[in-house]
Amino acid sequence: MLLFESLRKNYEGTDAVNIDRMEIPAGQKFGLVGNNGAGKTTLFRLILDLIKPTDGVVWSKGVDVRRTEEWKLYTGSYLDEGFLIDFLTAEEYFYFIGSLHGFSKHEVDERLVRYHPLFNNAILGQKKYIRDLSKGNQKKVGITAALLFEPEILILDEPFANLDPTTIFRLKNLLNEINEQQNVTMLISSHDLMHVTDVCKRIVVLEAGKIIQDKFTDQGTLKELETYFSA
Amino acid sequence: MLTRWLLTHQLKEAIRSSVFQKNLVINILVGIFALYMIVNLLVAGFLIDRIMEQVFPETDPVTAFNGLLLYYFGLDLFSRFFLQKIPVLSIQPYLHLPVRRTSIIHFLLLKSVFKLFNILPLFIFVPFSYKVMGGTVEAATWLAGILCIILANNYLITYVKRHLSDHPLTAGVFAILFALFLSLDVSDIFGLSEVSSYLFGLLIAYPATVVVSFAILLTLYQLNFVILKMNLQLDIMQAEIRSKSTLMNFALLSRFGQIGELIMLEMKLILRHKRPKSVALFSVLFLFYGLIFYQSPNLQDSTFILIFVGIVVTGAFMISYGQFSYSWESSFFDGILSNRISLETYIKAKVWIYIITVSICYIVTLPYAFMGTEIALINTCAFLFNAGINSFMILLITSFKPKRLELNKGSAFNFQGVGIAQYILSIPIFLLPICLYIPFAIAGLNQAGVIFIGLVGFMGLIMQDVLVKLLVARIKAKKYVLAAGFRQG
Repeated sequence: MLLFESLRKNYEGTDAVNIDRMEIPAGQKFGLVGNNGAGKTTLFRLILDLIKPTDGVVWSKGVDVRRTEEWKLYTGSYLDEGFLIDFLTAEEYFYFIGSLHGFSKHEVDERLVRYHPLFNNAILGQKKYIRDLSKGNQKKVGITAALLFEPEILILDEPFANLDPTTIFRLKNLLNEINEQQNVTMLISSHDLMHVTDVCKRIVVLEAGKIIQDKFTDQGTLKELETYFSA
Repeated sequence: MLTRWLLTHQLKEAIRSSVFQKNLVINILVGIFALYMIVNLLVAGFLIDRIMEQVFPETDPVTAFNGLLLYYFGLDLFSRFFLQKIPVLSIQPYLHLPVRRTSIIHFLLLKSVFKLFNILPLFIFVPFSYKVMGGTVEAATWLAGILCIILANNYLITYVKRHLSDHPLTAGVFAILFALFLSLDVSDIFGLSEVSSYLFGLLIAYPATVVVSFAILLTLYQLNFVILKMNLQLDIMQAEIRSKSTLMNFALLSRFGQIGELIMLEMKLILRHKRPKSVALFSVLFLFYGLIFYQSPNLQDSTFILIFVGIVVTGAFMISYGQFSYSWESSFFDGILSNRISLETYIKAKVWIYIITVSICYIVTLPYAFMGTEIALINTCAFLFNAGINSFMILLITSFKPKRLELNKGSAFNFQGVGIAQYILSIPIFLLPICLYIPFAIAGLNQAGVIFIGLVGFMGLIMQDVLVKLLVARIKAKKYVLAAGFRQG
């Protein structure tokens, strides 16, 4: 599904991302962990063609993401508030995103039903602009918008941060469910080792842009990661 | 004691604001500009009796001036409605401290006295009262009375915007009333100016009446005070502000697919933020440029200047709003890039916004055609050139290092987000049509030259797809730089 080849992003002499080769097969739940500045967000931005790689290529379904915009048709993403149009209400935003994919308002409403448990009645029908929502609720809007059109690839940066425990629990279930039903390829970064090992089948540890570990999760993974990061 | 603390905090807030620190040169320029404005106002203040004598030869200057005051206060209210901020959010950090709420409120309300709106008029009224009215006791009470009304306006608008409505429609209703009174006055049915002369004449005839204007001021102050005191819990006030959102539908536009959706989005952006709204409002002023220049007899011969005026008049909105083409979206540019919007659609939507607004400006300024066929021709050709060529030129030039914009600050004297592109933008926009015209002017074919400008614009409209493709290629190469700049803030 995704293939990185000699991918490098250099900021003023230091490599923020430096990956020789890595492949993410379709349907994989891929977790990215690492400390601040390890290059997680940079990698995601490279996949979304938001920054220009110093070197190398991101192949999405065999096509260079920089060459065409086709990946936009099947890639849903939410990295930060820069993705939200914050002067719209949540509904207006969902309708807008929906319209980009050719959904009518009615269809958007139908698709939203599935996410109502996440919203906890604090998102829809509020007559509030997104900028007036709390950080957690903004995140819910962003994640929902990324999921709305049932993408084949889903990219979420720190999806569990700022969320309340109930929502985290529901979001994890939702992600697992979507992955099982629709075989969505998921790329999730997180500082929270427990949540990310709960959801992801494969964990990659980044440090200074390089892949330090790359493994499939089993019962011991969380312990191993904890040992690694506490060292 | 407390007041002193609050004052120093306010001062620090102003000095340490990112806008102020970033660009010293621009601050100096703003300073010079402000000084220039003050000098202008002072000159006007000292000469206003002469102007009054010329415009209203049969009445004495003081009566005539008093007659205009009610209109002045009306205009004052109108512009305050759009430009004056409600001082509210900065009190949050003090609410949980052992500080008396009443003193915070008094501070908040008194702070708003030191605003350009309240200070600038003094440069007219003080010289007038001194020179024309001779600096007597009557002059002093007159001045005091007027000062009270200016400040009363200040508090009235704070009250209206905070508690009643900040919807532009309110101002629309007000503008209609204003126009109604003005036309009744001009047609001698009901003279608001006579009422105004009488009322403000009272201040001179019976100095004690100054108490009345002071009472008005005090009442409005007290009204703000009482209501603020009841609502000082921050979340209540914010909830109030939030619920007054302008939720509206542009159902018609959504029929035009993605481009329509993007145009709709941009319209919401304009309506829901202070800065683009005031830019749009200011651009209305440019529409009146024609009144000054198209009419002036000694400029009539100089087609060069008239071409310039034509570009300004029909491009009023496009030029002032377009100087930040991409920056308006700076806070969600990543979202635009990663969502299912092709760059081509994105650019096309922008081009269409410009073409639509240029057309609206053209239609609104059609009456200038009454000033002569030459004017009509110039206006039409300038319109075509704006729509066909300048719309692309703006999108091209502004893609050069745009900066992140803060959308909720007013636009007057706001240089946040202004870069080189904004300074050089006007050069090609105005120079290119004139360059096209020069060869014809030398050959003595003035009219043909003007038509040529229009023709080039028309060609631009026909070749729109090609121009869009060129822009897309440019933005495709530049988008990483744009996005990175917007992220930094």
